[in-house]
Amino acid sequence: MSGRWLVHVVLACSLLVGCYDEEIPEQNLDGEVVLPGDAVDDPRDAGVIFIGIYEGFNPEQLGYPYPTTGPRVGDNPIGDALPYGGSSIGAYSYACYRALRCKVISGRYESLEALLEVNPVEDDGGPASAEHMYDQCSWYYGWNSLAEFSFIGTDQLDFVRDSAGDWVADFRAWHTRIPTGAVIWGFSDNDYTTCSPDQGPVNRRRSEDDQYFREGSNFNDILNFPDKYITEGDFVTESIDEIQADQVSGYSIRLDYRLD
Amino acid sequence: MRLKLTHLLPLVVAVALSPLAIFGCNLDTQALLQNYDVETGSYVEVDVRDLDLNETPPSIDGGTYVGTLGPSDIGAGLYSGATFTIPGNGERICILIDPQSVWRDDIQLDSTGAEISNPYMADFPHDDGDIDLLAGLASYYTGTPGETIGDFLGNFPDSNGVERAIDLNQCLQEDYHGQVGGTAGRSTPEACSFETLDGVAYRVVLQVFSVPMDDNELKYALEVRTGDCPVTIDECTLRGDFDEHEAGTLPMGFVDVESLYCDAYE
Repeated sequence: MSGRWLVHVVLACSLLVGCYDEEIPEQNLDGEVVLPGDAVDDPRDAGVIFIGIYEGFNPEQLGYPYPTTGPRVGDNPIGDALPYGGSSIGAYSYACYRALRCKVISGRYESLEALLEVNPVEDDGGPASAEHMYDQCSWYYGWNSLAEFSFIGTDQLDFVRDSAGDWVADFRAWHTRIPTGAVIWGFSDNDYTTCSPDQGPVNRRRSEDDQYFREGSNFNDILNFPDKYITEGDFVTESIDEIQADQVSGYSIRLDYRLD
Repeated sequence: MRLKLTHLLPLVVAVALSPLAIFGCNLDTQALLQNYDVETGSYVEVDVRDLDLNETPPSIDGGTYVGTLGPSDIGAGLYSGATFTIPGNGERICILIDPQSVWRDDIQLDSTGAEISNPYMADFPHDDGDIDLLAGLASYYTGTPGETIGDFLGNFPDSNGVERAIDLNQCLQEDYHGQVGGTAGRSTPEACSFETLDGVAYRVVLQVFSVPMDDNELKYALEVRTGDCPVTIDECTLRGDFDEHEAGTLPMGFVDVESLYCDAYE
């Protein structure tokens, strides 16, 4: 076989790779979450927003908008909602101070000042300044520049205000099943119930300060049992969106129900 | 410099001899398998028992049941274990199981019930047994009593036509982070409680995760009680899950490590 033939065969094979459809049922699903502007003045006040793709919608079972659940098993207060997949807007971040565990969410703060305004913390007996916090984070994480701070930055803000005055954030649910007729539902955990201070990485400076604690992270069954974490003041989706055949983007849900 | 064949001779010899070095290690990993009997050089059969066939099977408020189980064949995916059936009484029941106490030979309780070190014994943490506890409606059980150990996993198609897996095990235990689905580690008691329906059959399943290495047999103590489980469950809650030692081999006249741990300072 001449060299030219070999090149042609290799090129043909590389094109075939691009054509091959594995027919995997899981796909990425894109959409947006809307926080009503009349309910939320500042997205910094909203907690982590969890979005799930569920079998169905059942507003009757719990007296507030909630996904369909499977049977109740054992001592669980309610059946498993059995999500096909999901995502979140924001994630719990350890903001360098132990007192801020489970209180700081990524994608909400443009600067350290904006973070401390909502989450004041004490340092050396007084309120910490942005400079204090910068030094603390430099020590804790080894960061040398504000660009390295994973939970602040104007380019990291999730929410933008639309012309109607609502706060809108895009989400992507990675590798989820999206059967036609399934529903997209979500809630905003405004009081950090979904965060466990006993989870997450162990204190990264333990060898220096000899204190054992964890940085805090979300529980792992939030999309399965949202009711365990939804409390008074949280926002829930009443206006769900339904999965349409062969549509993987353009969905929108609105957190328009406040639990009282 | 021209490379001659003689320059490569040491390398050729080393490569030729390397298989001998491997054989020289003579590692016999079979001894690490829990179902391999070193003394007879054979594998122990999976041991599945139907306790309902016993003259006095475990029952609700029937006291402590002490039994023995053999090793699982983990490589083949075959569990040893035991099952028994209890009729629901319309109330909450608690199931407790305590696998054999070989664990923490180096500690004991003092006269106040506090743990203190045992100066006579060293701990050997890998000598323990472990049983995992499952329970649920007998009709959902996937195994065959006395033949194969199963579980309570099932499938159903949801309203969108998607096949879903569901675990109908009602014996839910919390893990370190308070999440359901945990199991206790080696030699540590397990317990769970759940509401029962009156007159409905429930099956309790004991899955052998590992057995003590000394005799490939796992003693266990088991109890089913009406009501919630005790707040504190430890090695001394259920008694009888031990092998007797020869007289004189344990300090203070004890003939089993469980009594040594629980009763040494009473």
